[in-house]
Amino acid sequence: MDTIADNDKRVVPTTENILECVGLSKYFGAKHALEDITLKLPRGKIIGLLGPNGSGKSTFIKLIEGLLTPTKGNLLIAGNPVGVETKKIVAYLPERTYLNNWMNVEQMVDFFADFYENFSKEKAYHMLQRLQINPSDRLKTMSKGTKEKVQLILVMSREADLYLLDEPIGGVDPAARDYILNTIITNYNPKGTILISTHLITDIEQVLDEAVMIQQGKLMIHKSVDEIRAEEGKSVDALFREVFRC
Amino acid sequence: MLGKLFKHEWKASIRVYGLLYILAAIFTVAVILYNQVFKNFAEGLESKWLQGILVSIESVLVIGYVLVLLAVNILTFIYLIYRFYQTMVCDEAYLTHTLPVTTGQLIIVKSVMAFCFQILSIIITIISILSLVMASGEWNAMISEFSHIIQGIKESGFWCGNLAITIILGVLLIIVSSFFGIFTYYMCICAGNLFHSHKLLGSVVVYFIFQFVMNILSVLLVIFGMWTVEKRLKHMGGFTENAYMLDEWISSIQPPEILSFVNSYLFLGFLIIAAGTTILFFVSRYLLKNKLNLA
Repeated sequence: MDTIADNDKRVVPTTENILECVGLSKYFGAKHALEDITLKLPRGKIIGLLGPNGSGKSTFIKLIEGLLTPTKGNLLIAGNPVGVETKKIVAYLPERTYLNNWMNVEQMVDFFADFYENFSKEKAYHMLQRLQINPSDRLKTMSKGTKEKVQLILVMSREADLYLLDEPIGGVDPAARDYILNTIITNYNPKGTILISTHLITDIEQVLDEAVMIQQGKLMIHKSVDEIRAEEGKSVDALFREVFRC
Repeated sequence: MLGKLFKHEWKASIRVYGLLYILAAIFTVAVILYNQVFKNFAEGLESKWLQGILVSIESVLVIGYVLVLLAVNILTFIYLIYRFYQTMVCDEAYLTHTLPVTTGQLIIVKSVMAFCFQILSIIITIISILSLVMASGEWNAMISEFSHIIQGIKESGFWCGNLAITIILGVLLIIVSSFFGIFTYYMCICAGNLFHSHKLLGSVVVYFIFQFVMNILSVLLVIFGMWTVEKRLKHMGGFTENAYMLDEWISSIQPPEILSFVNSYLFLGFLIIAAGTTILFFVSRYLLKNKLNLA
């Protein structure tokens, strides 16, 4: 059986950045969910957005997708401010079920194909077939885990420039985690960037190029995995445990 | 993209509204069938007890029919608010706001479809009632009565070009008022989204504050309107403080002049409500585009 590393088909990335933010902050009243994040994410990388619960990972991802508006700072995706043009090239997988429950899978595939030019129906149906998901099944008849897989398939069937995956492996069993990571690695646009938010470092460390660590809304570390191993002399998981020790 | 949004909004909404319309059709047919088949049968029965049961069934059918028609229109209104709330600020909003369309396009599509379904519900209701009238054999009497009304209007002198303008302005006023109502609820839902918690409660609070302000503005507008009416009547040379002489003077005014006078206020009303509707649209768009808070 292929391992996740075997299915890794990344190309050599360009130097152009897919995401650039300067002084990005988000406040909810007195609560500072994100504070002064300045970051550049290159194209063609798999980047882990790491941090404990409540550190601001989801907030950062939602700002990129335009589901939240920044309190301060600037955010550009492929040189454009968040808007219609960026939503065409960004594929987003939230941590919750967000699909229309009354639709069946086929209708959801048609919905995505209608709105996203970079969506591949063939790829979607191929992945659905592998999982033995019947396109005629209504989403409301599916278990939570199956719905999440359908969501993942719809997102990964797009040839996006930036994939935002918010806790894709949280709350699932280890076998399902391997399937999800394998689906991500084998189906994403090789020229695109994947930003995976998670606190389960061990499972994804082997596929990461870079790690961004956030704590209490502040950027702690942004380094390549190789740099972390060379400079810190430890794995990303070990560094995470050290940085975020309770 | 607008076409695709309209298509999907139609598909999502018709599955709910369609059920209501089917229910209305079933009750309409049931009442018609009962009147055509069972009513005469019931009247011919010797058993008063059985007659009583059949009359009771008729009463239940009629009450059910009225309730269904009310439900069609009330639930249409409730569902259009629910649909906007669910798809723009709740879980489905994660899908809606990640689509590569502008916020303005989303709001326009939802409001236009909401208006269309309101009109469709009214049309279904009218068709249902007219079906009952036709089935009961009262159609010719109704047409005759309608003809008498038209004849009366012609004889009174109101049947003129200005009447057509009155009707057009009236229809425009109804349309724009409908959109004003829709955007009122949309704006309140968008404003409620600004709250960090209890967003639905926040929307309700904003609604009541908005309605309070609108009531005050309405009173001020009515006072202003009455003041302009008095000024214009004086300018036309006939206004007196004596109600009897006023009544005589009004009777001397030609119907086209009266309609022209009324049309000026209908037009002013249309402009004011259209402006209000436009403001509500832009406020809703601003709140969703710049203050979206899907935490």
